[in-house]
Amino acid sequence: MSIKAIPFAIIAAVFMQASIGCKDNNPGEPVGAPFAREDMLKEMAENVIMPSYSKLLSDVQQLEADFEMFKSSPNQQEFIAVRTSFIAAYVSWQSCSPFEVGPAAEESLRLMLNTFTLDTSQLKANMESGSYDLFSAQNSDAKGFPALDFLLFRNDSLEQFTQEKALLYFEQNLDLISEKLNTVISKWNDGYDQEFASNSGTSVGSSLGLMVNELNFDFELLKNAKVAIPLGLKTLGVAQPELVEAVYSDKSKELLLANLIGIKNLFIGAEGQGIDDYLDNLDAKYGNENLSQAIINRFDNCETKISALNSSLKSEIENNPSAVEALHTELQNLVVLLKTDMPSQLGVQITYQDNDGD
Amino acid sequence: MGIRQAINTSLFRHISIAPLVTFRVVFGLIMLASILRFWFNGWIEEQYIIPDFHFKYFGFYWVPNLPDWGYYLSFALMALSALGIALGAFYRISATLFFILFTGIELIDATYYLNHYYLVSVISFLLIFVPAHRMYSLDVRLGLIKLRDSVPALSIYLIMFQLGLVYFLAGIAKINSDWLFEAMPLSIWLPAQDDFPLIGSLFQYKLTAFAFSWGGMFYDLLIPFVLLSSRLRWLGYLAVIGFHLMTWFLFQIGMFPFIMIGATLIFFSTDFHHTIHSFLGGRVKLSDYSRKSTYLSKPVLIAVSLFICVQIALPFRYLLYPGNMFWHEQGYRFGWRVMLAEKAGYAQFKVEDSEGRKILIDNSEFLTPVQEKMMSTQPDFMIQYAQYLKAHYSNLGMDAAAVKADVFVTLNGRASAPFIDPNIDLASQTDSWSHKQWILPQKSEQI
Repeated sequence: MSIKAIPFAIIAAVFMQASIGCKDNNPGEPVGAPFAREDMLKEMAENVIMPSYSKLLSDVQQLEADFEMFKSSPNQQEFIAVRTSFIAAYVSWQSCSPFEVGPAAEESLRLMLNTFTLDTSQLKANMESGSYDLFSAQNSDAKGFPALDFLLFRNDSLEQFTQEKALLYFEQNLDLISEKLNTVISKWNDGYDQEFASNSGTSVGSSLGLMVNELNFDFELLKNAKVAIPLGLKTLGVAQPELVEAVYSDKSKELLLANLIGIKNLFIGAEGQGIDDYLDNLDAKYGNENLSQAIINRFDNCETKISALNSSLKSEIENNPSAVEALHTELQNLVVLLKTDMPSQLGVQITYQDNDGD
Repeated sequence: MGIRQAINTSLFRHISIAPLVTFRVVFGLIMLASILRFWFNGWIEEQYIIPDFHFKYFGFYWVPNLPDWGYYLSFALMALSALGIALGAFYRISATLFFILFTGIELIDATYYLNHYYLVSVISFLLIFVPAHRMYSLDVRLGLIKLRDSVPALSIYLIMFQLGLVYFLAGIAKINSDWLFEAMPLSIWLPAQDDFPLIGSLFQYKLTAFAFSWGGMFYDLLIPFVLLSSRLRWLGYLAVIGFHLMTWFLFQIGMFPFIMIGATLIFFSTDFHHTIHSFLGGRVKLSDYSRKSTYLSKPVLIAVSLFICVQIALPFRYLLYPGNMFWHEQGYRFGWRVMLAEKAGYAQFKVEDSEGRKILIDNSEFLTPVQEKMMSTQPDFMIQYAQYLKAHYSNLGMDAAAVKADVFVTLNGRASAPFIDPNIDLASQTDSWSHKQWILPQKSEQI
């Protein structure tokens, strides 16, 4: 056989292979109707991100107003009002937690507002000395919502909260939250909204790529920091119920649920287009069902398990750990889809480094 | 004509050194650019200095990690020796040093394995032995060696063989049902690139993914032969440029496209290379080397045959393992399988004490994102990681009896499925060439 005949032999061989192996398939049909990722991102910003931030902002403003009222008339009734509006704001924060892209990433919003477990001795030392920088690294565990939670709920009596030093520390942390939040919102309004929508590729720094990574990061925090660690899954089964989020107000269950729903909301895009619609458009399957539906089902399973917890997460860990273990199992089931099937089908890149396809 | 004579007249016949000189210069310069790019991207720090732990290749567990300055020194020397190759300065030393440093750095962490890094190792290995510095080199200019305008044909053919083999085997690897009949993984990757200029809007069609899959396969299978044909060569080279630039625009594929575009120049005729050289100011008058011949050397012939056998056999070793190689990845590396699988995994490791109490592991505490991504789909990495975890927790004073993992993997759009036996103690496994029984068979063939 001369060299010239080789190419023809190869073509013939391949076609023979093809005719043997060919399955029923219609290659002419598009993967989906044209899908504008830019529109999806725009809708995610309009329907999920901005409304969540606005809700949080108005809740924080309410908290500020109630706190002012309390300062002018520090009685039990106003104390309860502050506590109530604090819980509302903390719950609202949970749905903003996954949006750590763009302005929120620049401002390290999650780190600033909700780093737990709270370092109470650092907090007390700060409060006593009265001189501290809330932005310094040593105070990263002594500020934000967990600090407010401590000051408001460490004790049911008014007395400790109305101490001058405590009020000052509370106010400064409230200012920190409000200032950071306002910065993030104004950056979104001053052009990041457009940048977010127009950065519509799938590479590492793309909005979709960032969102998928942050959604997963927030979900891992939920699963590990909020459930697995207090449950003792990282300490040979020795439970550490005191490590739950919002341990003083004991609202960890409500916060957990809000966090989960917030992440789910980002996935489905609230009323508008979300990642789920994009997956449907790509015809992404999980076995015989749509991948988007499989993910939503698993979100719902997690939601059911949280709702089924009797009282607070802390007391369930202490008294009914199997219910929390069952929740953790559902969270594991969901994370598999969120970290393998979803990014894989979306074709988003996770790292900058060169690759030649796994 | 006897076989000895045939070998003498074909492989040991002297031909012009010109294509080899071009190859030397182009390869050296691209390597220099690659090293500088790697350095300035901050990857020395990111890939070698930051990680606490490095995954090794089977058989090369002994390769030590370097102190921080050792990496910078290695890369600096690598850049110098790449320049040395291009200039033909202390050429044999440069080529040897480059091969050792480049391969050594690759062996430090298998996480970063890329086919084209392997190709660079193989080619720089070959360059140690071929006299590519006999013309237009500093060695000649400095009088260290005598000018010679011809080389035994074997030195050029061997490099052509290696490049041709890369393409041809990459083409063979594409003859699998996912690639040809499901257009996977391109059906996933192309729609993600639908903002590509001009033709991006076509990427949402399954037909486009099919066209690219089949086109890519034919390209890879045929291009070595097209480049060998003097009539089709220019057409082939245009295809080389088009194909590789396309992949460069579409994928995060690094320097590979430029290596291939530069390297395949070696297929062009002597005249072509002479023209380039004189255009660039080359003044060497060529002698009549057509009758010159080095005599057949048995050791050389044996060594070359061995090299060729290994190069052909290595990519096919996967046939010795049961199941789908793209799933279990045994025999995957060193096989010229480029851009063939969209794979993602999730691995929940658990360290257990002798009473069965567990610690769940957060991989990001121990691995970088790239290392975690690679470990989550590659069984040999899972063993190394498990052993690392066991040692880590034992050092902390824990009675770390076993390390197990729940691993889920998705391949080319199939539903994620359990990848390994969750009850096996990974830390007590030893890596070897034999089949890893604890890898679960691929659950579903259907996408």
